[in-house]
Amino acid sequence: MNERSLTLFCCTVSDNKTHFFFKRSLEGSAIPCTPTSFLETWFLPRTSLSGHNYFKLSKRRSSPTATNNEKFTTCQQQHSNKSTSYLSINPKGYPAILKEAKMNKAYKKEIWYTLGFTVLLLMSGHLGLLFVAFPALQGHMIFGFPSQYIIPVIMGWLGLMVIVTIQTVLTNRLDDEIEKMDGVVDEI
Amino acid sequence: MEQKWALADPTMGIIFVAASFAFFYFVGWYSQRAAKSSTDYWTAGRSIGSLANGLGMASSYMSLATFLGVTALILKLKVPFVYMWIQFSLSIPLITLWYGTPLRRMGAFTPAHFVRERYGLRTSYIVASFMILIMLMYALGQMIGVAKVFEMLFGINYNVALICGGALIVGYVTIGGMYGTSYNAAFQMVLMGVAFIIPLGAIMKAMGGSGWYFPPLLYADMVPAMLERVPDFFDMKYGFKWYFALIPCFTIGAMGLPHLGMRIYTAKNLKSARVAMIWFTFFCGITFSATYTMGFSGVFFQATSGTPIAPTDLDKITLILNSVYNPPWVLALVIAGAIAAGLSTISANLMAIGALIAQDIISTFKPDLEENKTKIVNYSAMAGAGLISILVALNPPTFLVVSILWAFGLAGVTVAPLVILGVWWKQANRYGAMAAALIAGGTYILVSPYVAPNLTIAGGLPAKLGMSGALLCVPLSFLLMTVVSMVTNRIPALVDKLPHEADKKLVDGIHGWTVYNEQRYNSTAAGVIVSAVSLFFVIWALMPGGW
Repeated sequence: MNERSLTLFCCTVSDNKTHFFFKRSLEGSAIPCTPTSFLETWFLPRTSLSGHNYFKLSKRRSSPTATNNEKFTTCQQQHSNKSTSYLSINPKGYPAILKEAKMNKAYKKEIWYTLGFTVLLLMSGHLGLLFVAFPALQGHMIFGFPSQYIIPVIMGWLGLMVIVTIQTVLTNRLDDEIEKMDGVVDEI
Repeated sequence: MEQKWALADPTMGIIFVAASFAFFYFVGWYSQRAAKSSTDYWTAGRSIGSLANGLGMASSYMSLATFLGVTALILKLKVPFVYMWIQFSLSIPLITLWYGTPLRRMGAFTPAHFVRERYGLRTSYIVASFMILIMLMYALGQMIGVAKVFEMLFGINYNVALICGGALIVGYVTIGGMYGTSYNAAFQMVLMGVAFIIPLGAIMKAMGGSGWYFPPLLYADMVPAMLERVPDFFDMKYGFKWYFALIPCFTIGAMGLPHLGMRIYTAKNLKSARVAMIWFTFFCGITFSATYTMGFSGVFFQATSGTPIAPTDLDKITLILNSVYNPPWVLALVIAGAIAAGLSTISANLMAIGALIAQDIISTFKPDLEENKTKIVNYSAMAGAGLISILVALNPPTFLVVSILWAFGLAGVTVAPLVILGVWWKQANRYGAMAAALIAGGTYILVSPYVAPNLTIAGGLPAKLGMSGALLCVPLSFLLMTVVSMVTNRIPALVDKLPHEADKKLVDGIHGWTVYNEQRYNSTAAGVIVSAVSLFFVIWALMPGGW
C-alpha cells in the first residue's frame, strides 16, 4: 500500500491525554495507527529562525484550526507530494500529538545517552581488561611507561574527564528539552 | 635489618591536627545556623554549589586508605591494584547517570527513601539494614585508622585515642549536619590534596625524579631503574576474571553506597550536580594518580635505598617517605591530611547512617512528628550512629573488621540492582526486590571466606575482597529481580497487592515527565535481555578457573 495515497483522519481531544489516530486508505478502510507512526509519515516539525514551529500540512485540505485553546479539533488531510504549505503555531501551543512525538524522541535519547555513556565510562575505567584480553598490547613504552600502565591511568583520569564533560553537556541539554515539553527538571 | 618506624617528634603534628579540628568545629557551628528543617539537616537545604560539591564528593570517597592503605597494597599487589583503584573514579558519574538525578528530582534523602516509595516499607527496612551494616563497616575501618594515627601522634592508649578522637569527630558532624559536613569535606579535600601532592613532589625531587613539579604523571624517568630492580612491577599477574570482577564488585558496588548518592541530593539543582561530577573526576583523578606515584615511590625507595620496611609498617609508607625526605613540619601537614581523609569519609558515613535511621526508619514509624521533635531525632540519630561506631570499634567483632572493599560488593548485591532497576524499569516490583536483596545478599555473605571458608567461589584474595562473591551475586541479584518481577506481574492475586499504577507513575515522574506514558521504561524485552545476560554471568562465575 502506498502510504502517501492515504487519507488521514486525526481526532484529538485537547486535554492532552487522549488521542485517536486513524489512517484510511483510498479504498475506504480505516486503519488505526500510533501517534508516532502518524507523525513520522505526515508531520515534519521544524523550527524557524523566529522560534516558531511549523508543521508540514496538506495544502489541499488544511486543518480547520490548531489553536492554543482548542476544545476539540478534527482534521482531515490528504497529503500531496507536490505542494505543501506551512502552518505557523506558537511553541506554547503545541498540538498534543507533536508534543508526544517530541517526548518519545527525548525518551529514546535519554535511554541511548544512558547506555552509551555507561559503555564509555566503563571503557575508560576498565581499560586494563583490554590488555589482559590482548596481551600483545602490553610492554610497549608510551611516554616512558609500559603501555598497560599509563594508558589505563590516563584514560581513568583525563579520558574520564572528557567523557564526563560531554555527558554533562548533553544530559543538561536533554533536561532542557524535557522541560520545554512541560517536564520537571528539578524537584517533582 | 628491618626497622620499626616511629614518629620522632609529634609536637608539630599535634598543632596541625588541633588547628584543623578547631576549623572543622567552626565550620560545623557556623553552617548549622542555616539548617532550619530536616531537609536542611540531611541535604544541606539542597544548596551546595558545584565546586564545593565536587570537592565534597571526592573527599567523601577518599578515605584514610589514600594515605595509608593504598600505598601498602600497591607495594604488595603492584599494578593490578592500580587497576582496581582507577575504576573508583567511575562511581559518581555512574550514580549521577543512572539514579542520582532522578532521586534528586524526587527529593530523596537516601537511596532507601526511594526504595520505600518504589517497593514499600518492608523492602526499605531490608535495604536500609544492609546500608547501615555497609556504612558501619566502612566507618569502622576509618574510625580504627584515625584512632591508630591518634595513638601514634599523642602516644596514648588505643582505647583512649579511639574515644577521644571518635567523640571529636562525632561532635562536629552532629553539630554541622550536612551543611557542615559538605563545607568541611570541601576543605578536607583541599587539605588532602595539598598535604599529599606537594610533599610528594619534594620526595620525588629528592629521589632524583625530574618531573617533581607534577607528581601524578611525570615520573617516567624513574621507570628504567624500577624495571631493573623490580622487573615484575608492571606485570599483570592475574587472569581475566580477576580484572572483570572489578566491575560487579567495585564499580556497581560503589553505585550502591548511600553516602555517595547523598552528595548528589545536596546539589542546588541537577545541572549543578552534573557540573560537580566534572570537578569530582578532576580532584579524584589527580589525587588517585598521585597515590599511584606514592606507591611507585615506595617500591622504588625500598628497592633502590636498600632500606627494608617491616611488613607491619607497609601501610605507613607515605609517612615514612615524608619523614625521610621532608622536614618535620611537612610530615605534620601530611598527618593532618591523613586525618582529614579519614574524617571526611567517617562524616559522610555517619551522615548516611543517621539519615537512614532518622528518615528511613524512625520517620516511617512516626510520620507526623513536629519540627522541633524531628530536630531532636535528627541530632540523636547522628550522635547515636557515631556512638555505635565508637563502641563497636573498641572491640570490633571479627566479621565486621573485614576489608572495606568487601562491603562494596555487598552494596553492589543488595542496593544497586534494586535502585537501578527501580528507576529504569517499571516492571520491577517489591517481590523481585525482596528476593534479590535477601537471596543474593545472603548468598554473597555465605560465599565469603569470613562465614563459610569452604564455600568460597575463588579463594584467596578475590574471595577476601568480595570480588568472586560479587561476580556471582551481582548478576544473581539482577536475575532474581527481573525474573521474579516478570513472573509475579503475571499472577493477578499478587499484582492486586501492589500499588502498581502509582509505582509506574513514580518512575515517569522522577525522570521529569509530568504526562504519564505507559510505554516508557516498560519493556519486557529489556527485562528478558537483562535476565539472559545475568544468567550467563552467574554460570561463568561458577565455572572454575580464570582468576
